[in-house]
Formats: sequence, C-alpha cells, structure tokens
Amino acid sequence: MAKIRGLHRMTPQKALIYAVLLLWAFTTLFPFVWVINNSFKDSSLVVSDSFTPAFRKIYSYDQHGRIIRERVLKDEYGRDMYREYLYNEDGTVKLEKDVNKPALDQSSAFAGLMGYNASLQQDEKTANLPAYDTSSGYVYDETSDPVMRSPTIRNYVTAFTNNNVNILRGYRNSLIISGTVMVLVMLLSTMMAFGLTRWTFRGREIIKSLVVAALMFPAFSTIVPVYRMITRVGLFDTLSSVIIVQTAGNLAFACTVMMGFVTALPCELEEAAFIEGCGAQDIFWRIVLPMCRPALATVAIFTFIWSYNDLFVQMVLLRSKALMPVCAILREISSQYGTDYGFMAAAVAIVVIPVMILYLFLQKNIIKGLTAGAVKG
Amino acid sequence: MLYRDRRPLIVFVLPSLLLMLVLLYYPFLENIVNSFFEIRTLVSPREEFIGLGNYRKFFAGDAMAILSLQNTLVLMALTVVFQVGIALVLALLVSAIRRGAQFFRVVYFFPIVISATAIGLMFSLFYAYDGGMLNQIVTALGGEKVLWLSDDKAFVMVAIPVLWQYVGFYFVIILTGLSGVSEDVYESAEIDGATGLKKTWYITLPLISDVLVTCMTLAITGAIKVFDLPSVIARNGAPKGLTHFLGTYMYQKTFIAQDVDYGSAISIIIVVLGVVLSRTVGRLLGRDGERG
Repeated sequence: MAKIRGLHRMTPQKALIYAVLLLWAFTTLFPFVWVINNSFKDSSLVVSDSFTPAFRKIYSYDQHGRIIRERVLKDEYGRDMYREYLYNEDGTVKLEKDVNKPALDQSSAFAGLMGYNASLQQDEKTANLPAYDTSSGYVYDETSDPVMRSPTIRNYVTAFTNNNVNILRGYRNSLIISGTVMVLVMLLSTMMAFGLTRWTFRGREIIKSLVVAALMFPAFSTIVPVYRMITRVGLFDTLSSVIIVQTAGNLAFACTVMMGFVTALPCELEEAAFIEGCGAQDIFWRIVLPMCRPALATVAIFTFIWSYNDLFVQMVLLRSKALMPVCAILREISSQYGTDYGFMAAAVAIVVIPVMILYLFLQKNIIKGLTAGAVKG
Repeated sequence: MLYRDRRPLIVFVLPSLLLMLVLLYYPFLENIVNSFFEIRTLVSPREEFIGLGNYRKFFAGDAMAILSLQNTLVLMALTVVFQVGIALVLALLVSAIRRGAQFFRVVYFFPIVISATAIGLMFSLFYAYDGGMLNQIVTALGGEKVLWLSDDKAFVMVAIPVLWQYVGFYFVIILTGLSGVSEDVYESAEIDGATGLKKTWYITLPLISDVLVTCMTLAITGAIKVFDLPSVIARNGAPKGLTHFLGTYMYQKTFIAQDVDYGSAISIIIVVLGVVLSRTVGRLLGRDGERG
C-alpha cells in the first residue's frame, strides 16, 4: 500500500531525479556485474557475446558439430575412441566393450578380436552409426559431462592453480602483508598518541608537527632512498620489506586520528588505575587501548584497504611472483594473459567478490573509515 | 603524578618516531639531495653534483616529461570539474529524496573499495580491440570496430575510470556536509521566496563551500598521485607515452630506465606541485567561500 501511495506522489520532477540517480548507480554496478558474469564463460564466448547471462548453457562443439565431452576414449593405438563394437552377420551387436578400461588384457582372445584387423572390418559396418565416426579421430564418452563454454568454472580453476600467477597465493601474501601492517599501525599509532597526549616534555610539539607534516609525503618522494636502504639491508624482495614500508607510510595518518581520539578520552579511569597501583604499561594495555576501539576500527579499515590496494610499493619492492600480493598479481596477469579474457575476468571477480561481501556487511564502517582518511596526503 | 615518570614514554613514542624518521623523513631529504647528483643505477652511490640539471632537463629538454606534466594538470582540471561536479549534483539530488538515499550511498561508494588495479584490468576488457565490451556494442549497432586506446583517444579513455572511480568518495563527503545544513535556513529562505535552483545556488552552495574546497583539494592531490590505473590500462604510457602522468613517468624513469636522479627530481616536482596547488586552491576558493 505504502508503495502505491508513494507512486501517486511521484511528481515528474522526482521521477527525473530518480532516473539520474539510478543511471549513475547503473554505471557503478554494471561493470562489476559484467565482469563477474563473464568470468563464468569461456574466453571465446567473452569475445563474441559478453552480454548474455552466463547461466545460459552453451556447449562446445567439434568440427562435426557434436558436443565435446570431457572424456575422450582412446584405443590401444592411442587413437581416441568411444566404444568398440563387434557385430554379427545380421548387424546385431555381438560384443560391446569399453576399450579404455583396464579390463582389456592385450594377450586375451578378446584383445585379438579387437585388434587392428578387427577394427578395420568394423569400420564398414559401423560407418552409418552417427556416434561412431572413425574419420573424426574423436569419439566421446557420452556418459561424461559435456564441455561447457558457459557456464564454466575453468577460469577460476586456472586462476587458483596457475603456478606462474596464482591468485590464491596472492591472497595469502596480501593477507600476511595487509594484516600485519594493519595490526602494527593500530598498535604503534595508539602508543604514539598515548605518549604524545599524556606526557608533557620538551620537543613534544615538534614531534606532533613532524607527524602532521609527514602526511604530505607521497610514496613517490621517498621510494628511491627507501628502495636503496631496503636493498642494502638485504630485505629486497621479501614480504617484510613491504610490511615495514607500508607501516611507516600509514603511521602519520593513523597517529593523527588516534591523537584526536586519545586527547578526548577522560583521564579519571587512568588515574584511578594508577592509584590502584597500575604502571603506564598496564594502563595502556588494559584501559587506553580498549577504550580506543571506535577510532581503531577506522584506522584498521583504512590501513588495511590502503595497504591491500597499494600497487606502487608492491611493484617496487617485490620481484618474485611467489611473494606478490593480489594487486601485483593482477598486473602480471594483465601483461601475460591479456588476451585470455575469461581468465582476466575471473581474476578481477576473485578480487572483487570477497571485497563486495565484506563491504555489504561493513559498509558503514568502511565508508566512515575511508572518508576519514581524506586527511591523508 | 601519573605521567610524571617519563621512562615509559620512550617505549610508547620511540618506535613510531623512529619508523617515521628512518622511512619517511630521511628518505625524503635524501631524495631531494639525490635529485641534484648523478646516480647511475638504482643501487650505486651519488656521483658528481649536477645542480639543477635534472630540473632543467625536465622543463626544457624532455618532451615526454612536459607531456606527463600536462596530462597530470589536465587530469586535475577534469577531476575538479567532473569528479567533484558529478558528486555535487548527485549529492544534491539524493538530499532531495527520502527513499533510497542509503542505497545510493552504498552503491556509489563501492568502486572506491575495489583496488584500482582490478578496475584497470576491468577497463582493459572494455577497451580491448578484438572482442572488448565497447567494440561488441559498436559492432552490434552496425559500426566499425574502434581502437579505443589510439593516440587521440587514449588519454580520455584512461582518464574516464580514474574520474569514475572516486565520484562516490566526494559524493559521501558532500552529502555529509549537506546533512549539516540546518532545516531552519531553508525554511526562512522559503518564506523569503527562494525556491528550487535559486535555493541551491544562493543558500546551499555557500553553506557547504568549505566541504567543496576540501573536495577540490583532495581531488587535486589525488590526481597528482594517479598511478595504478594508468599503469595497468596503458603500460608505460602507451601509446608513445601519451598517457604518462607524473607518477607513472617517475616510475618509468626510475625503475625501468634507471635514470634514478632524474626520477628523484620528478618526484620532488610532484611534491612541490601538490603542495603549491592545494594551498592555492584552498586560499583562492576559501576566500570566495567566506564572501558568499
């Protein structure tokens, strides 16, 4: 009822507003839908009709127009076969044997019957059977699954098993790198914020302004000396190098956010704890850190997403494909498999789908975390 | 009394401070010094002093450098006009409706969460000459296949996803700004006879001018740092360096051509340009906003 009433109140002006808004929503959603849809298709199909939904069944056909199936049987000469038949004079089947089964003993009488001569004789008699065309070279096992051009998970299998650019391995590396960076940044920035807001000492204002000024350094302006430093200490092409550099790169932002938050925290609890005999360490771990949870969530989300998406540092500091996180792997895929559209679509989908699911659950926090990062330079 | 003992302070402040000094400040300063010296390879030491040689080369002797600078500046202008512009229009429209505002917020913001690398890969599937999505549409409509990344189109084609991806970001910031404008202002304006566009132009925009300036500053600094998308869609500034931006050109010069000192100089130019431009925008428009 409510809906209908709403429609009645829909003025042309409002309809236009919705039309414009939906149009932009379409541009932000359609590309991802398109990519996910095509990730379930064979490359040959992505190239020819990328708009048909992937759940429409499309089979692969051989040059004779028969559906290609996953299992192709071979005879003892290594030729592909489906089944061997022996026929009586009147054309009825005398013997029917699946030649691919190990039951066939080469020395047995049956094998003799099935031998080269036998099959030659059969050829004439079975030529009229459509499923047994000896000239094609391929005879498919009709009980096996047909090879689908759509839908197919072949692209995903490639993405997860390809030794050269393995996305699963990329995910592992990404989680190690971004997870560690996230935890380190959360911890270090809260410690720094705690130190800089609770104690007064000479040089405190200088350090504070150093933190704020560090927001302005883009990675470009530090990367060469950092690269040289990392190489000198032998950390080049290791996960730790990326972790250290990204941690440093995110600290300034995280410290700024945490300082703002910790300053506003009331000191009473800490003082009470001090009177109870807690030291600064205890107070930090048991009181300040737990109280910082809301701000930490912002820092965590921002840091993780930033680190996960930061291609530049990954590209500079990592050379081995085995160590590359997802983004670097994606770039490799685009350069090496740029013509395998199905594989590329699957690679993008593999990166997009988990983020999409996470986003659906955490959208409020993510939007807040990333726009708070607006102050990051 | 609690925080009189300063010994724990070292434990709390030193780790972060050291990390920042060693991995941000020291490299940043070394980078400035490096840009004045000759450095032969990525790992070799500084050699002779060449002063402003690299900067002179950038502005006077390197057509591609100028092109990358020009591309970056054009992209900046485009981000201000289109990213912030579209975001503003969308935010104004969304604030005018009741139903579905949250839906649009979530949907518009989504591309930002996806890595620019994945988006780059996606757009190369759209742009591909043989069987790319756009060419499938073109041929289905009876047209000839188009070379989307040709000399004259490549820049625009690389700019489109860059612009498109971040509209939602500014949309959310502007929308938040709009929600801070109190209803009373509109009510009194309506009493004075302001309606529709007039209300938007004379009341809403001046009230959120701070937010808009923030967005423009962010858009400009963002445009300077563009790297991932162009480096995936159009490798090494393909075709012929026409899609090089300062960031990708710096990477190309430093890590591929191993012209390390020159790369350092380019990165300094990036920093200076960023600081100068964002300050200028803040100052110019900030004053405008106050007057409005």
